[in-house]
Amino acid sequence: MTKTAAQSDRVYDLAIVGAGPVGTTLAILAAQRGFSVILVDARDPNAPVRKDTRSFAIVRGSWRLLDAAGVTNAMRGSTEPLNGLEAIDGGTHWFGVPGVLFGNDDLPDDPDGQPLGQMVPAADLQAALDDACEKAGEIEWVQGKLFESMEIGPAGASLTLSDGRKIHARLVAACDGMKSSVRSAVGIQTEGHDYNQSVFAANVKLDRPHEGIARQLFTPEGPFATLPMPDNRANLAWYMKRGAAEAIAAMSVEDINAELNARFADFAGPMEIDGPYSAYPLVMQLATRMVGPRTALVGDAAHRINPLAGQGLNLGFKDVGALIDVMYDARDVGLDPGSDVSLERYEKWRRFDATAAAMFMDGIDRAFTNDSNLLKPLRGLALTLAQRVTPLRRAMARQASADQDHLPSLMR
Amino acid sequence: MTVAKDRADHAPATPSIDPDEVAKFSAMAADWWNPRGKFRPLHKFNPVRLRFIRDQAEKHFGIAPEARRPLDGLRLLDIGCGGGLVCEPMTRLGASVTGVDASEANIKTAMTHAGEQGLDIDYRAGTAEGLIESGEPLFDIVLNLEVVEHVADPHQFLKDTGGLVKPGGLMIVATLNRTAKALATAVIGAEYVLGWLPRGTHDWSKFVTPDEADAGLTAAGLVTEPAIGVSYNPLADSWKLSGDTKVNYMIVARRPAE
Repeated sequence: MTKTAAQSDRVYDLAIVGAGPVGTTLAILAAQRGFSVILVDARDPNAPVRKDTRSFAIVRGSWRLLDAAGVTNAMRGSTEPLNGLEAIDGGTHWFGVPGVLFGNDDLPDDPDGQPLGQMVPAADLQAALDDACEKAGEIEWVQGKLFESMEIGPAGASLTLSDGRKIHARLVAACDGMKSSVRSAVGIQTEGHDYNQSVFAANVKLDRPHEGIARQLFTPEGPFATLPMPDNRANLAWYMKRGAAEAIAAMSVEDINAELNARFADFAGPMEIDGPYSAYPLVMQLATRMVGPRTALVGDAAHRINPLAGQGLNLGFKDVGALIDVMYDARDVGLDPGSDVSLERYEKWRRFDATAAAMFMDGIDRAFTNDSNLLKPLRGLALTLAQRVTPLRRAMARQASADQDHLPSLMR
Repeated sequence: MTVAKDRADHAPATPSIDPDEVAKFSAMAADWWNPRGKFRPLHKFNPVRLRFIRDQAEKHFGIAPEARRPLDGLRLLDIGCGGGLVCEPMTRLGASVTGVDASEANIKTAMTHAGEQGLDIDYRAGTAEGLIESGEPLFDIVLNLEVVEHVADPHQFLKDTGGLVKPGGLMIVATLNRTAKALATAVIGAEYVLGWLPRGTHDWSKFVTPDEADAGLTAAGLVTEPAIGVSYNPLADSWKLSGDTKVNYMIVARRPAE
């Protein structure tokens, strides 16, 4: 890596704006394939690091992509295998508690023995990716600078950064998140949905062994989910009406513990807050297009979905894998990887998947977050069917683990 | 003197673009290169034929498949180059490319676009016959893509253009077969039902069967390979190589080394 000033006359194959997990992974994989890459990172290297206490569920397909980027070894030790997903209907039913559990046994055997997924602390993932960017000699890494504006020409884009520096590139990847400035600069609109829900997120110490199962309890007030973490801890997400989650987050740790155990000890066993906690509003947002001239939206810049099953980042990694395939295949036959002709394939490939994922998560949330007497038997039946009908359960497992056809080559 | 005069009349030349015309040709270039515009079918079709050309060239000239510029050092001619949809990729793959097109507007459009992309391509307005008459040096690779079905005498055209291939060189022909299936899909389907192409783009009676194409190429002294089909998959909205030569097909022909 070179942290020197970018040469102003150089034209890069790819300028990446945003150095989160999606941007850095894209940088590493593109540089590996011989594309010249410049990475614009808003983080100030001299600022104190604020520890990210979230954890990501990295499903099997995404893990393969990270393996190709050479960062999985650095994360071993801090990860927790994700062996299964369980969904339980917590509404009141006439008999029994409908639920579905699918796991490793429902998936095709993985040559490396990988489970359905891995739970990775966000800070460890970012550290491993930053380290790999640093070691990749081919990435020009501009730190502590923001994207300001962009001009599009027939053969590329010229970006202006917050220090006035100009960067020229054939393709710009907007990896700058939900409030993407690159997306605004190219005039791509978004459509959104505010669930009027908020999420209370925290890490807890569990009493009962979690066995690597991500568990979701659907209650009429909203879902309650625990994602397994090392040392029998869990990353919990508790969905509530807007305002309620914020109110919980304002309480004392003792009161929160009391509240959690009173409501969810039956489901998750006794638990205790372990580390910082917060509340944030839940919104869905989809860009109306995945591409603009000389621009590809990647990850949250293109789609922000309900984080219910931890699919958001995995959707972003699918974007990364698809963009790498599109760029590689275009260059291989002499086409310009940043041209409209190449980006058209990326748009077609990713837009449907992103929309479908957003709608699906939206539908699940709506179907379960109510106590309607009409929906209750239906969703009970759906869960029971999913549990009893093996092909259905397997299809869900493959979808959730990103282990299926039409995947980017690095995720297969 | 008459001979020299004839040559001057036919020799394809690189036109100059009037500064007033730049905006017009730039707009036309944007049209040619718009994947959702009127050349959408060509953009859909392009990757499969580009891949085929690269693979055939690698095989024929013994080029390593991982080469970034596999066509480095090869002289390539694209007959009927249009806006440069094949010339530009071939240039990026390393070839030294000449593109000819009978339409001066096409050549000016292609020149404008190549200039914008910073690619050095030798574009000439004129015909392949003109190149032959003007004594153009021979080429390592001659591309004869979607042209044969538009000329008056396909046999003579293939025989003449085959003469532009260097000993040890390669020609690739892509065209449409004169079958009922081609009439139904390439003409009625593409022009009248789907509206992919303007009506009247193709005259079915001028389509050439693989045997006829083979005869023209053989008459030029080239050694041919069996035709390979290119088929459209409507579900994937993409093209792939196939065993079905009833509609679109390609033929590889080689001139033996001396």
